Amino acid sequence: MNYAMIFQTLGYGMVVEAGLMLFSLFISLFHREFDGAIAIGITIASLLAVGFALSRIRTKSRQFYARDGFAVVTLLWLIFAAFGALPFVISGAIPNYVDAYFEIMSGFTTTGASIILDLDAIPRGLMFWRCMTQWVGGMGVLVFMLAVLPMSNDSSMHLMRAEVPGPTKGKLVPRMRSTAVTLYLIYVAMSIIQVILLCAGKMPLYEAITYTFNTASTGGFFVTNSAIAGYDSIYIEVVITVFMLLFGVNFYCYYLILTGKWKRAFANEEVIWYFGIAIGMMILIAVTAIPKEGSFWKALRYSSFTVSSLMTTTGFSINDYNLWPQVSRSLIIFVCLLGGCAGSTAGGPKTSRLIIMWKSLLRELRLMIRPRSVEQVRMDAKPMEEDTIRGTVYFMIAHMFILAISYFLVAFDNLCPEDTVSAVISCLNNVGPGIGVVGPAGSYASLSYFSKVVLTLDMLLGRLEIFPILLSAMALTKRIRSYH
Amino acid sequence: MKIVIAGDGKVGFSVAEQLSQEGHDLTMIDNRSETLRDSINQLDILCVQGDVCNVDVQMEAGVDSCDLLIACTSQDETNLLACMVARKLGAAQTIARTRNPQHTSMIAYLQEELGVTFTVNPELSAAQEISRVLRFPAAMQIDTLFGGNIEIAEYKLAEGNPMIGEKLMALPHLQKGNVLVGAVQRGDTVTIPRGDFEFREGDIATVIARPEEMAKFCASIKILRNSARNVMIVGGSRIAYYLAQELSRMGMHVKIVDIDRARCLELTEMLPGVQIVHGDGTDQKVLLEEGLLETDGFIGLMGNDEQNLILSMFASYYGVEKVIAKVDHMNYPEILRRTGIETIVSPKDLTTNSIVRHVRAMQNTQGNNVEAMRQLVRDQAEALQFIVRSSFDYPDVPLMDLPLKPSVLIGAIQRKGRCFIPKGRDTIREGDNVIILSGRDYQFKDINDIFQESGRK
Repeated sequence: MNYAMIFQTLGYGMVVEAGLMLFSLFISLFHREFDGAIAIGITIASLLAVGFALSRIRTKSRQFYARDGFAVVTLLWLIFAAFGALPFVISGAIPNYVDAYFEIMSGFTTTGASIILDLDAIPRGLMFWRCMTQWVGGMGVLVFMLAVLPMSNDSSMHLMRAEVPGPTKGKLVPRMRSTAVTLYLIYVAMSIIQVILLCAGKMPLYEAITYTFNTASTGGFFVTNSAIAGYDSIYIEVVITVFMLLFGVNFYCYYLILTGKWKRAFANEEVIWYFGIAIGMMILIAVTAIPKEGSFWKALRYSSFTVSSLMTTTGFSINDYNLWPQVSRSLIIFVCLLGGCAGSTAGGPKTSRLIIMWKSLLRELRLMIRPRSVEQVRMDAKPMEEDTIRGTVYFMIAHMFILAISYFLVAFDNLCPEDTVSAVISCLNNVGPGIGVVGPAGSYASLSYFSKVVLTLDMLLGRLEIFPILLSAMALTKRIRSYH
Repeated sequence: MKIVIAGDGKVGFSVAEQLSQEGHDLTMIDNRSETLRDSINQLDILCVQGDVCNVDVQMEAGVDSCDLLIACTSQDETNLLACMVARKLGAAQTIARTRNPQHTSMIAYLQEELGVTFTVNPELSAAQEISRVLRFPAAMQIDTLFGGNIEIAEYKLAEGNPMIGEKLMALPHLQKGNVLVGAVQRGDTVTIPRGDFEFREGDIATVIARPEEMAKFCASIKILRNSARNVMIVGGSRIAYYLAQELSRMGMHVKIVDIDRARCLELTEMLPGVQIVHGDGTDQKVLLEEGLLETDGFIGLMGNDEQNLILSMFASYYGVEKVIAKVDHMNYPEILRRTGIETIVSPKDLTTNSIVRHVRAMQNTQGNNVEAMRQLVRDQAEALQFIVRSSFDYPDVPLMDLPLKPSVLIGAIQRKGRCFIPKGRDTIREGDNVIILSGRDYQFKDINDIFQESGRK
């Protein structure tokens, strides 16, 4: 492994994080929250000190292989969260470091699971940082670095590969760096549109920006205790519903639309399935929730928000769906298992994986009947590579194993089985809230530290799609070494 | 520039590798997803899987808005078709790799009618490269224009050179008008010489000529003492054909050894002046019998790299002066140089180089009418290639009557695929390809820029 190069990249990453924190520092000073400002200042100073020291490391070779890329991504995310949690601990807003780390990892991984019980007590500067972590984590920390730093070389694909979700990793344009810039431009433009639309709905600017951060990244942190339901505005709910769904769409489609290739954008098979599943589940859950809500339209209002929130793994809620009938609640857990499109900011297993699994399963069944027939799994009318299918299957297997192991570990918290399952699913798929104790009305605060550590790891595993972490863990424990 | 490469083979990959480092935006098209995956893992490029000739695939790769399409699959026809499709879609320029001599001989037609800007023939470039190595000392700089039909050589007049002290117009070969001295560097100044220019020791002269004239010229001014006379080629491949043709045109005695009787017969037909030997080239006895000891140039051109190398080592052991081996796959130049083999010629590398050079020239000439550009004498002067269009100011005016700016020379003209060094009475016609030599400070953008303002119509 090229350790010098890895540490140098980490150094650059820390400098970038310090730069991002400056925004929160300004907000703190603007609102005269000096405790928060000092805490953020100390963090920025330490980030800069360590970051500059690391970026000075001399590299013998600039060669970067896949394993180096995975190690950088994993370490960078761990470090980002480690330093990102510091301001909360220093200022005393979240006194315990494990809690703060959970909260910030939940931010960067765009999970949105929170241990904060009283949101209004958090200083605005720190709250801004908490929401900003989501926005940056949504499109990817490294993708951001690739876009802003002149570090792109031929091997930078290894970096992006680890961070951009989905079974196939495509570039929009030939150059890695232009791809990263294009992705962020689309991301920023859509975020700005959302801020404007939210402001038009009489939401204060600060809240509009922070809620946009949390929507765009499909993160789902609430900003105020009264939450989104507190605005009591159907307009705001609709705007957020629509944008949650839009940010769960593969960004490649937006690029196609921007370059005038409408036809190809709208013919994208994954996007069609994605909207199909979303609308189907909205109606289904609305029907099952009629007994509680009274009318279909009222139920549809809540269910459409809830489904687009949970399917895109955002995790906002405007009602306590814990009070819905059992069938609705069960379906809600199911929705949490779906995820958005590949190449979007959403988490979860991704629609395209589900399509691939479904189609290859059907092929497998057909092959059992007619063993000699030759068939290919097709997506967007193009044959899928067998490697991609195999990768998808193994991803789902790994996903299941991690769910099972986490369930086993969190089980020691003595929650009811349903709550345990939903907490684990919710964190691993970066959704945020679950059912019961960790439901929309509850929080993760009551869990034991051990469970919080397990769930923190789950969030990171989910966001980086499992393999980078497993691989770098293996590489760092020298398991893989013997093969290289 | 936005460049699309069709064909992710050895050449395609190494072209992509070079051009990606030079900062171009590359998209690769190929049918094989595995090779594409390898490429995308190693290079910062975009890959599109599909048939290189397919319109939809080309559109997906963005050919309609690209500056250049490079077709380098192993099939000539595929390459040419891909280029034609790309031109129709709107690619600004196209390069095709063609290896069939039939296709190579119709370069002019391909350029004018099918819109293929540039063709590269790996075997032909390899033959030309080998021929240069045989004819010139390694220190001499040689560059080519018009697809190898015109050579530009730069060399230093060392002590004892017969040109020293002579006036330019007094040199016998120059008078015949077949060789042109394009630029001379003396100290830090570069001049485009006129007839009364006198050569001094230490001058670096740039000479332009067709390959066979260049050899005669070099021999006449005795800068070459060790140009090979007797050449033995083992392996009757396509390169051997091109090479034997060129070498025998220059008056060298060429012998080709090949193991396949049918191929030998074919070669005898195609190469009348060349001695063809039917025998096993890997057999020491055959080689010695055919006079290995009397040859001063040995070239291993068999299909197998290892055999070429071993044979070349054998030849250099027997004291053959110039030994050249063709290598396709292996590339360990450091080790091979120690074995006494003077030169390794790799068709793949040559193809890559000439494509990359073309792209660089394209980049230098973007936004003007310059077709190609070569920098001469350490970038102090340049050779520019223009196509003469109907807008040309002085059609059919003899060169000696043209009001050229000072330090400008008409270096060479290519008319309907035939190249020549123009004389005073020659004229420039529409459709000609013209090489202009000029000082660096001019920066011509159009062929009409070479004339004095006052003289313009």
